[in-house]
Amino acid sequence: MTVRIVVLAKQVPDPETPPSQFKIDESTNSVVPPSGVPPVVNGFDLNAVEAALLLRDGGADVEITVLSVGSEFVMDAMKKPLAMGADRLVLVDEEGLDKIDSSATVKVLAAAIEKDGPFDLILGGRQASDWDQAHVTLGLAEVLGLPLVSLVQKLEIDGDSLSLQRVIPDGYQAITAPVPSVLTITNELGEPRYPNLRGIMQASRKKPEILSLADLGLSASDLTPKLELKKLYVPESNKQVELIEGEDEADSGKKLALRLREEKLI
Amino acid sequence: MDFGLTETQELIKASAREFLEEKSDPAVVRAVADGDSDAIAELWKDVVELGWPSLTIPEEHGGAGLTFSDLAVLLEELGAKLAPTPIVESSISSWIIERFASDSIKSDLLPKVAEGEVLITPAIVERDASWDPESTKLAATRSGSNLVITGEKRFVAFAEQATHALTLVRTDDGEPALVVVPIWKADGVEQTPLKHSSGVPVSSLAFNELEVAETNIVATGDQALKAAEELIAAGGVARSAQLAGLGRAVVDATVEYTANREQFGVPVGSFQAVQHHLADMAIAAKQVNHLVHSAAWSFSREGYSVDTAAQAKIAASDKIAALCWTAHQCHGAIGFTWEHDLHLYTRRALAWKTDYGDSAFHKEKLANAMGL
Repeated sequence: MTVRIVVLAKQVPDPETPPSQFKIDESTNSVVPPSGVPPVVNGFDLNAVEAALLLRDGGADVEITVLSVGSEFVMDAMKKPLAMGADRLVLVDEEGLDKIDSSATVKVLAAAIEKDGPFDLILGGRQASDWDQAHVTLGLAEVLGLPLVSLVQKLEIDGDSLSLQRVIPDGYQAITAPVPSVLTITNELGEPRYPNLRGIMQASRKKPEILSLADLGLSASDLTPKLELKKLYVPESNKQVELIEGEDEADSGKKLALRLREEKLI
Repeated sequence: MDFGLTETQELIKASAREFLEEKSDPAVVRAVADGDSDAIAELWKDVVELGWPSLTIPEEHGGAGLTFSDLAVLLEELGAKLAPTPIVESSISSWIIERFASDSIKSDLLPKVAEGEVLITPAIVERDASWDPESTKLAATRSGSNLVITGEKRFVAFAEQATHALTLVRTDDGEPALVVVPIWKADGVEQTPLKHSSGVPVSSLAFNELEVAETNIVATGDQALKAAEELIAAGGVARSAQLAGLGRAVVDATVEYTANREQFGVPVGSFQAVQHHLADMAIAAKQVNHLVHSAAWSFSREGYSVDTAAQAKIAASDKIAALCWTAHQCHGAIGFTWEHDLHLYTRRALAWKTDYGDSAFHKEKLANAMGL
């Protein structure tokens, strides 16, 4: 039987953007897209794609759908999961959807999953590298009424049962969960695979399936934010260099340790 | 008209950039330059898994069936990271085999090249260091259904890793022939590694009465010369694509350095004299980039433009090497140290400047094509 997996993916600014190009428009509390640096798919979401592909590598018959909510999608970036081996790309694409808060995002994703489902597994990255809130996948489990396991580093599927490893600070928990479940995948799962040429060609030939809010029975009024962003700014950082000199290396080290303790850094 | 990259090319570029960032860092480039052949083998294994050797091989032979323009996008990224891997050698050899060889050679070799089982490298240059196919002297005597090859080829890149060489010989009736020669651990082939500025393995190949089946002949007579001319043009454009990427990387590194290195309390990049250098470097890199894509676009299953291929290699050979010297000026003393990576780029640019013909060689091609 085919295991239907949906992987949540978010288009985010490239975390490798040089700091000199990272700008905030404080009048609108928004990040100014850096010119010449295209956005990317959130790296943790690629871990989730990799998790789904590993199930396929392990012999499971899986269909992998990548689902994203936003606007002004850059297709070269959003098709990367397809190039890695995912089967479908579904985009809920409407102006303004890239600026909604996490509760509204959950609402849109839940509607898209209900329309396109049922799915056996819902996978998301542990968090998105733009806001790092880790809200959406957790909220989605709540709204859909499904079990949630966060920070999964390994998963195996056997019929209606999932064997999972969940990362904790000093090791991992072995957990069994039912199908369907919602999982957030952590980077401890391993590096996402690089798209090979065959995957790239297949991705080029596939067209994303585009949905609007109306297709999901939603309107802008359903997406009233529950979070209010008061102020967005780049914290000021002052770089000061203080040279610690001593009579020899041991003396310098001692003085450095004392200085760091004075500053309460150690 | 859209002059941008296609969606496939953007995906190739992004994927290659990400892969090479991790797998072809300066430590790997330095290790290979120091003779670490395991590092080459490890990178090649990953490259084969990504399917890069199959890029331009037609789908009917197990390849991806993409274009020379698509290949140029990949080669730019390989050049930008100085990736020590024989994609140019493999790609242009399979391109020529697909264009000129018999169906039996194609169906035998091309699927193996696509899978990475077979690696073919061109072996054209001889003792006189000429890229002119007419100057070929490597002797091949007919003996029954075999050719017996005796003589030498020089400056063969990645010969240590290659299973076959695509080489030009002169048969006993004086006719040239382009032949696929098995060289991997072959009796009758002696490899001598050369000390070479490129930082990748380059060898001389001595053939001592090596017997090769006549069925390995790709082309003979005028057709062999035509195939060799196209091989050198394709190699020139491929190297130019790598040089374009190399130039871009050097410009980026120099901009970053001059934006951060302070003198007299300000970044050295704020001085107009340095800015002029940076502007000249950026213009040169972009010119080469445009000429490369124009030349690559001209390559098809029906032929190529001699003019644009020559223009690309002339510009790449002259401008990118000069750009590297300017980068050393902008970096000051640090750019002349062994520990800084800039010399890796400069030495590679100098090696590639003459590979598949220097600018004087291609200026003659261009002049001939223009009817001068």
